Amino acid sequence: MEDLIKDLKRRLVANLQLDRSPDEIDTDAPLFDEGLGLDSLDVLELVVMLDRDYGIEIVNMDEGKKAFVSVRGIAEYITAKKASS
Amino acid sequence: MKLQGEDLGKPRDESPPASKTVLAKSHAWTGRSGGGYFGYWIFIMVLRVLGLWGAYLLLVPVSFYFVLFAPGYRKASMEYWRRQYQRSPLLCLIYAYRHFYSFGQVLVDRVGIAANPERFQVEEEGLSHILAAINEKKGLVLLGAHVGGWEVAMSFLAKRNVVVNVVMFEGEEAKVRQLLEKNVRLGQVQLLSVSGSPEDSLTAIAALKRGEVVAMHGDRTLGGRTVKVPFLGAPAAFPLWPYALAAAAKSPLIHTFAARKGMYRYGFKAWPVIHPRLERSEGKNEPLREYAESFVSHLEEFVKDFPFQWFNFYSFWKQE
Repeated sequence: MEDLIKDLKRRLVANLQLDRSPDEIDTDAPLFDEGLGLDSLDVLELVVMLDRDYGIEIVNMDEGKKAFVSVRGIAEYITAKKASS
Repeated sequence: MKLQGEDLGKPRDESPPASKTVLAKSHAWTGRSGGGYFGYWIFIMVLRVLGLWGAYLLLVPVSFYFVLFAPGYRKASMEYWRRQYQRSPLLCLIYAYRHFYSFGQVLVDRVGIAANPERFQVEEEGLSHILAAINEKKGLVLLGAHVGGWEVAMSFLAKRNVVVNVVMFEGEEAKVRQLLEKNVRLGQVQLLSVSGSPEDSLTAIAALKRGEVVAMHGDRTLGGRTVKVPFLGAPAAFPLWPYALAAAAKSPLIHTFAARKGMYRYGFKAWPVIHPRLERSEGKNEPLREYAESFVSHLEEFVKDFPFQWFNFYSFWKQE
């Protein structure tokens, strides 16, 4: 899980071109608003990234909304998806 | 021309809350149309009694009034004409008058179409692209603009068995809801109110994943990220969100515009499908630029063919 979180942070910074290093991202901070401050376009990039880099296609958006709470939320979502597939 | 009083108000199908009477609805008419309730009421009355021609005639003084007393709209219109034709201010002013008149005609036609759709003839070009895309059930992003009569395109889709989500910015909602509700044929059309938040993106993806259509305008930035693309010779900001949305949902995207072509005549055009892709590791906005450029080239084609049907009455080249 910790490796996945590290990997996620690295990819987030690279793909969304965030102005911070992966280590500076708080694993439990909200992705939107005052947390990471991702905007409406970032979240679309994130969906594309999960599909391309992790093979996770979010079909049910209610699940997706639950996953997109924090980096940890995404990591748990990926882990759960991988386990069930 | 048989726009009977009854025709204007009567629901034309069973969709219950959709119509009542146009007059009753007009209480909520608070859009940017100057003159408010009274002005709207006069137009409805003239439409009923004298028909479309009568309402057009009424547009003559109304358009003149706007040229004189609506400096914001006048300025925006004249800027458009300056960029479109590089003519003298006087000529641009005359064009502004015709511009308002043309906008009025489309607004009047809307009421006419809602009341009496059979009377209007709509020529289509490329509808097959849209139908093929819908049949694939991968969702469809329909990208239009504030030109001509976009709701004409919507009325095409309303007859098909597909849910259409019309995206609008919070605040525009009441106005557009009223406009759509007046058109009682739009059974499966619903509104998707967005505020530019990340949650909006997820809601829109969800609709596309259900195989629905998400329709929006590609000439409003909605406060999101944009790319500057030359339009009529000067850079203007266009949104990137529509293309990123299609890429994220793996849905096709189609450009579509509808134009008023004459008395009771509209033309509707849809371009071939594109499949936007969001590639990694390039400049942040750049991967999507080509899609915005392609949209702008089609938009330019439209405003060259129908110069008086550009309906963005604000300083378009200054928005961020």
